[in-house]
Amino acid sequence: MNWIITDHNGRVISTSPTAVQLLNNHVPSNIRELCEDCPVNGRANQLFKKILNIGGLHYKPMSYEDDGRPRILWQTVDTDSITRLERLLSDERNFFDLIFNNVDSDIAIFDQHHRYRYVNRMGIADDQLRSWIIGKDDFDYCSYRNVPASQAFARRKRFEEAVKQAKTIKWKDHYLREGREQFVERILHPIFIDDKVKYVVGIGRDVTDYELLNRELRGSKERYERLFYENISGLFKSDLSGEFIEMNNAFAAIFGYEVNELMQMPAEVLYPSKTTREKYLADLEVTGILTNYTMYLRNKNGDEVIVLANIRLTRRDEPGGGTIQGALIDVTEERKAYKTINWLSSLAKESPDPIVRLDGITGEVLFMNIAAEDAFEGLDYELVLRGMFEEALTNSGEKSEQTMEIGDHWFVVRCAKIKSDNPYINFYFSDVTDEQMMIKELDRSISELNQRNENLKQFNFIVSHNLRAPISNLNGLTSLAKVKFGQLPDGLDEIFSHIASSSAKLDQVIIDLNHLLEVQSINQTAELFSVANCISEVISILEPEIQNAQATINVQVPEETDFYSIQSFVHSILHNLISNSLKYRDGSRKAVIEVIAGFQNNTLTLTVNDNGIGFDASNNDVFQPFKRQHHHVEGKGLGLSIVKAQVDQLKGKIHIHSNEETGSTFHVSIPAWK
Amino acid sequence: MNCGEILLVDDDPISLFITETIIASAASDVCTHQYEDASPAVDFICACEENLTVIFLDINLKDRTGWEVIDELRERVKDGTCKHIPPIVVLTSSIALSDKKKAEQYEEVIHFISKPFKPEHCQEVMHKIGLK
Repeated sequence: MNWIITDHNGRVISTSPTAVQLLNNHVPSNIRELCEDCPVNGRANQLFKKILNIGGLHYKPMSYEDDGRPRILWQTVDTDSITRLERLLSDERNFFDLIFNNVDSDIAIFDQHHRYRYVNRMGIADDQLRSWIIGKDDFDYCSYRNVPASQAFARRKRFEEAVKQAKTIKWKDHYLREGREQFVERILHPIFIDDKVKYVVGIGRDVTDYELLNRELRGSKERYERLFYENISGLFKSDLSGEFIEMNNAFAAIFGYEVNELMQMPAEVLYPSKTTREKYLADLEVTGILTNYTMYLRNKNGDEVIVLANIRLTRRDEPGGGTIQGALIDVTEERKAYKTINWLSSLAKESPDPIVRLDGITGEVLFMNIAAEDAFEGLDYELVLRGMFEEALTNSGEKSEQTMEIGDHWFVVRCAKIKSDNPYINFYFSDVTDEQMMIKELDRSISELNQRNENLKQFNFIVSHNLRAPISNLNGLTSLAKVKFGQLPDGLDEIFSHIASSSAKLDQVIIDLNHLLEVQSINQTAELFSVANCISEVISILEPEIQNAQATINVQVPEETDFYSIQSFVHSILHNLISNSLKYRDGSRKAVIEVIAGFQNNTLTLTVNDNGIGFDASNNDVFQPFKRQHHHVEGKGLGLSIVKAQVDQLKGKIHIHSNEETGSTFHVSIPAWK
Repeated sequence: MNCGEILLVDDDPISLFITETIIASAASDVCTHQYEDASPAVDFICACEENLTVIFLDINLKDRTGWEVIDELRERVKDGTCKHIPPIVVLTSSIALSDKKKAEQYEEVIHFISKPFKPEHCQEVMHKIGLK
């Protein structure tokens, strides 16, 4: 081998003996030029492709330093063998490239010192870098790419792991490059020759799409499971025989079971009978799908459960087929409520009383039952309802009631305002035509009665004033004769006394008639008074007559005699009965009259008992005005009529026991005034 | 009845005649004044001041009732145009209990007489007003 050592200026420092000969004969003119391009760093000689050709010999340069002085050693090379080897290698590499560049993976081959021996185009796309990297390791690569050496360390670790374990290792690298994720699956496969590691093959495969898809799938599965198990609808899957494959909590809960419990049971337990299940299955068979299908099932307690089902049948020949799956919603409560609402609604519809509902804002008719339609038939009901609506709006109360005429009927209309998101007003009508007619009739009767009462008053006034005034004058005038002239001549005195007695009788008739009329007028007021005092008063007024009859009056009254009634009537009744007893006394015996008062259940009983001449009590005419039982005794026949009228007015009763030997007993009972 | 002036108010002249005759026969020294209409009677009462001993007042007068006459007198006492209301005897042909009860409600009314007016009535009244 020949060699030449030069400095960087091309000056020859020393040569091998053969080279001296050659240099002497052929001094290369361009050696300086060559040397100037020669890099100082000896490791770069691979790139330093310049070859010095002297005397048919090829010199290859290699720079080095000799005591700090840069030197270049030029050594001869066997050009032929190099060229052959280079071609061989080049062919081989082209062959590998041809294959490996078409492989969808990064492929690199390292020697035992971690140096690249081969990288395919997938591994490194840049051809220049790809040829540069050969013989370099990952640290070179990192410094070249200007990336942290940590990557190289990590690789080295894996490399040593593969070598140490003497087996293929696999891992996945996850990168984030320019905001995009990348997943690379890497394999390091050591190759041993004579138990010593010679090469390590590295394969890298981009599995980003796979990883992302996988992640998506995993997410979907989680979502599906959550959707399934946490769904509020009851979800289930069973096979065709009714054996459950899966179900969620909601499904088991609809029927009052735990999932574990129901999973062990056949689907048949949920049906009221076997035939029911067969019927539902038959329906399902027809189309393979049931949508919003109502099923009547049974819960754990055997109670009816109504569900709304969406069920799909997958036939045996479909992939994953032979199953029934679906979703159920428990609508038992809703259906029950719906039934109630239905019932109420039909009640409103068929109610014999009209019912109308208006929108609480617009007044639009929302509902009108049959009775309402009948009531409004032939009428402009919208006008009527509009009026009612407006009145209801101004009415501050929640409820109101009024009576109104619609068509030829009268109705009491009750109104209920409902305040809610959808306010409305209900009107309930009650037909009160009959009542209204009765009220009208009653009003007319009352007004007639009032008129009659007025007439009676008027008549009473005529009796008490227009009739009585002249008679009392007549009476007065007759007595004046005596006042003025003292004793009258015999004949005249008799005439005057007859005039006086006639006018006195006439006056008494008018006074009685007046009392009778007064009783029948209605304006009497009740008061609390003492019955005992009342009896004493009557007796004291009748004292002259009692004296005259030489009669004995026995009075029996309880201690407490306060009573609520019309005092003047009670007074008049007693007055008439006692004066009757005095008047119709039996002259053959001493007159004894008993007056007894008593109370029972808020009722006053008065008994007037005499030992007089008596009369035929079977005759009902006894209470008729001007019917006299005895004509031999002076009387005008009004007394008992007045008593009867007053007792009637007090809502009381009167009974008479009388016979012509022992006398008469009058029983009067008067309830307390209400 | 002495040194008394008596007023009779009644729309019935015969009744006035009877009353006056009986009073006159009972006491010769009284002077009776008679009115058939209410209004002049009220004016007379007010004009008389305290000289009237007693008034005999009918209930059913022509244009008003005896009660209204008393009410009017009360009004006039209130507004000062009448000094005081003399004792009143209601003398009426009415025998209605309601009238008798009503009479009891007027403190001015000292007696209620149902016609015809009789000498006994005259004695009662004289006794009540403390004459004779």
